[in-house]
Amino acid sequence: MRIKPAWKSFASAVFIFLGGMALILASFALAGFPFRGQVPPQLIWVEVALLVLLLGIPLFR
Amino acid sequence: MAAQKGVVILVRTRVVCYILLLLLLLPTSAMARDYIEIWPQGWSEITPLFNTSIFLDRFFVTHDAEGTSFLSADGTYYKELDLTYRLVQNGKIAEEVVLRSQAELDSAFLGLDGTGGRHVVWLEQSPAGNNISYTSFDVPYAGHEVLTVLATGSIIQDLAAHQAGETTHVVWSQRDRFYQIRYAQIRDGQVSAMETVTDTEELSVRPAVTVDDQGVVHLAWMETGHAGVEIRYSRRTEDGWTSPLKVGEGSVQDIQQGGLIALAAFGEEVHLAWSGLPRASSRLHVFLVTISGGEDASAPSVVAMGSKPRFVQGTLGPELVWQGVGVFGAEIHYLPFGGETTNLTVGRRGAFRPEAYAVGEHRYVFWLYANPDGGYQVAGINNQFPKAISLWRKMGIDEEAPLYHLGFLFMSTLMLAMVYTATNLGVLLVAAGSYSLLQRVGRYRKQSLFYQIVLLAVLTMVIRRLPIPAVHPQFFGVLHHVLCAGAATVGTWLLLRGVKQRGLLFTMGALLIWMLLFQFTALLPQNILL
Repeated sequence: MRIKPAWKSFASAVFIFLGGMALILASFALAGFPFRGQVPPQLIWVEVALLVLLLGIPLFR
Repeated sequence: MAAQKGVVILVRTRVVCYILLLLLLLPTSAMARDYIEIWPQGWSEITPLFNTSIFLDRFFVTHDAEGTSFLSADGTYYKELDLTYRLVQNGKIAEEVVLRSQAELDSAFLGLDGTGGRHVVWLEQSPAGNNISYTSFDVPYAGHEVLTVLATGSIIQDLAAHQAGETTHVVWSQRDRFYQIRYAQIRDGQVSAMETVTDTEELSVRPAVTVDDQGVVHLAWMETGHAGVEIRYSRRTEDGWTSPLKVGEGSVQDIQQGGLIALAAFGEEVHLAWSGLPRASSRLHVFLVTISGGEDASAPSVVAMGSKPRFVQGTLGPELVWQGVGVFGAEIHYLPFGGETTNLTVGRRGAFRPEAYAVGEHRYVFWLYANPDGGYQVAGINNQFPKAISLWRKMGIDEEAPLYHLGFLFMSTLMLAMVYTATNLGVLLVAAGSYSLLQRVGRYRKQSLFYQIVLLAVLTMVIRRLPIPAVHPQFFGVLHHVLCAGAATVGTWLLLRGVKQRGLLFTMGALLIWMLLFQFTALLPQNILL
């Protein structure tokens, strides 16, 4: 079995964190820096609906 | 020999790693600033104008063809204030006139009549008696004469006024056994009407007055009694003042802090804004009420947390500025008609008592800054000359040292994300338990790795909403939330796509990685603003 060297795994993790940071900062540059706010109640229902949808996919496949 | 060589290489690698870590950590924390100013997009630099005091509840700013006019009480001792008029043209003070010097001033007003005339009313107190005075002058200033509107031995306070053409409508609170609201009209340098509006056994204070396009005078005030503070409204008709209408509830806390009612007429509607305490809150919030046809008042709606609301002068619809609450103290917030609130102040300098006017599409907002050398300073911002914002600043990164700031942000957010992940241990355990139960069902167990990680992510996001003790990052909008969840999910998949092993250990590992990535991306704006 081929095991990925530790430094490669570490570098991958660092790149993924840097990529996440780049994505968020790019969104600030394009859409403006966001303001603090309250979580809209609809968002919670959207998350629940998404979960139900995901749980349903294997049942109908 | 080979073993010795290996040890030397290992030691060298370790030393290089330590040096790299030191190079990364030391300069970033030493050179990056500890916060970044997020500039309101589309607005100018903040311009400091002149020094003043905070002894009056508000300063005045208004605009006409001659320029921008200010009225303020300047001085460092409340019994020796100079009532000063300033005319600012092209960003520079063109005229500065002390209209009344070395007096104990309670309140003042500046109005423009549209033909170049400036009308000033002020209320001053002294051991010999209290009086309300009026004066008017033109641009350029060529002297002024003072008319005494009222001289009395009883207590008078809270003067407010409105300039409608050549007529100045003045209201104040006067102690006549109880505190009553009184009204006067000044026209052509003479007092043409003097009326007492209220007749109650409670304290009628903090009046505000405006006049609509039809010439109807509208009045609002705070009625304080055993039951609390009521916001009341009345209008002047040919038969006298209408019966007071209760439009909302004020707050003693607001009165103590010098709160006033903002009153403005737009067509047939009269709008009132003030600050009070909503139910189940001990912090002042801005309330807004609309009165249509002089009788029908809407239910008070909460605009935002804050105090000292003022309507922007010269607009077609109600636009508000107020003293909001920020992480580092008072901020100035602006709410355009039908738009979203913008924080106009940046950095850690507290800003107080906003005033604003409009000229066409442009807005000019002014406020008080605490002066480091003592006293207060009037500062202003506008959206006529927007400040150019660099790409770094748009992202919230220090444009003077972007790489240092990025390094500092990466390290500090990563460490904070670990702490936040640790506080979510309960969420992780519940998510792992639920996911393991799902894995017992063959249909779910046989799905692709990507599906399984997406399911794990969405399941964790739903479980985060349950009342499980945990610390969550502040919310910065739906777009940011979706991007964080997406980045964490894709990142987890990229890291684990080569792993063949499945089981509880894999689930816990995937959950930890997802949560760490999610917290990291979600904490970025919060950490930038810290």
